[in-house]
Amino acid sequence: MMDREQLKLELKQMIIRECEKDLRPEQIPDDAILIGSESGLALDSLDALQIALAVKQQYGKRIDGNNQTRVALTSINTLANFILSDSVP
Amino acid sequence: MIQAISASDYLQPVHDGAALPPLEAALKNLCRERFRRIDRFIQLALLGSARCVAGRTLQPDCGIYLGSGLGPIGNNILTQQQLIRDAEIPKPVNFVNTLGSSAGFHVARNLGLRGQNFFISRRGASLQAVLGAAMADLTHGVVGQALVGVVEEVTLPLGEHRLRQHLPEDRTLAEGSHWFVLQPGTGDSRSLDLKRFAEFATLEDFLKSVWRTGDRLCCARSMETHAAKTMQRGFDAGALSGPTSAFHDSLEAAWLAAFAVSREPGTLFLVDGHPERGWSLFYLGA
Repeated sequence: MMDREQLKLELKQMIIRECEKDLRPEQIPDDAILIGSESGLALDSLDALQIALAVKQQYGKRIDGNNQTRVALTSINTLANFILSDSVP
Repeated sequence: MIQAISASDYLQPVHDGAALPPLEAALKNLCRERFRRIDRFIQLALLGSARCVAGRTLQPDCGIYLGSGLGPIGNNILTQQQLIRDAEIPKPVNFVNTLGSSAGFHVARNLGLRGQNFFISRRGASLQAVLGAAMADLTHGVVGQALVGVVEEVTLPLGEHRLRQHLPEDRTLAEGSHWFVLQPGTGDSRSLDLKRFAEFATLEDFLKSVWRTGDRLCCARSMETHAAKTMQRGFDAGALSGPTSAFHDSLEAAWLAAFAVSREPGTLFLVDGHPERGWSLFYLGA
């Protein structure tokens, strides 16, 4: 079983790397909105695609267009929940 | 009359065994924001265009005309490897940047330009293609100012980069980003003109009629033939001073940019063409 706190740290590192943000992991709150105009990270739809692909490659989980999986990209918490869930990749 | 009111020239030979020189530090000083999602081709475009425009405010509707023989080749190789070798979906950022127009977008954003934005690729004659397009638009009033550039990047290993371009193993390679700001009018800057000819003989006759001692002649790579050599001898053009002999696909731009900013007297003539396509003569005068 993957450690949840370790997973959240990995996800923050992945987002920083994939989206080329000048941030440290501790600067991304677990519940901060990741994508869109409300996001303090200023990530956009292309970042969302980049993150979705990285999640697929790293964790085998596919974030597609349906609402349930798209919600996964809301925050670090929801992304971790999605990866740890039993849903079929 | 069209004037070249500014020019810049980044030309960096890349030697076997050496890494590609990092560009981040130079870009940090030249760009008004830190750009994400940019590859080396975009970095080179930003570097050359920012140097060309430095200290000058362009018209907001200034057109951008970017040319390249190989385009964003490094990013294209990466994307092809992801797709074909690794059988994976390419990263969105890599996929987007396979288009040369992505570089034009970043140049426009960095310089605050909102005019038309073209990317043209023509192996061995990209400079001529973008200059021709820009001069036509300037002449017809489609744009009031044009930022014209060519960018060529090098990928490692150099052996593969040479092979890709059918170059001999001992050919020195270079990266380049060469830019010009053109606008109609008269003034202290060098003037740029273009004439097209259906027949090579007609071009030669015209050149003879305007040729003055001290003028320079540059034959495009597409003309590296007996005709070009004969032409060089016939006009006693001599060796062009200035840029290195290291190769990239749009090297003519290096000569043109160096001459544009020099105080050397005379005119630089750039000849390009093909018996089936016709001939063009660009000349950058005093």
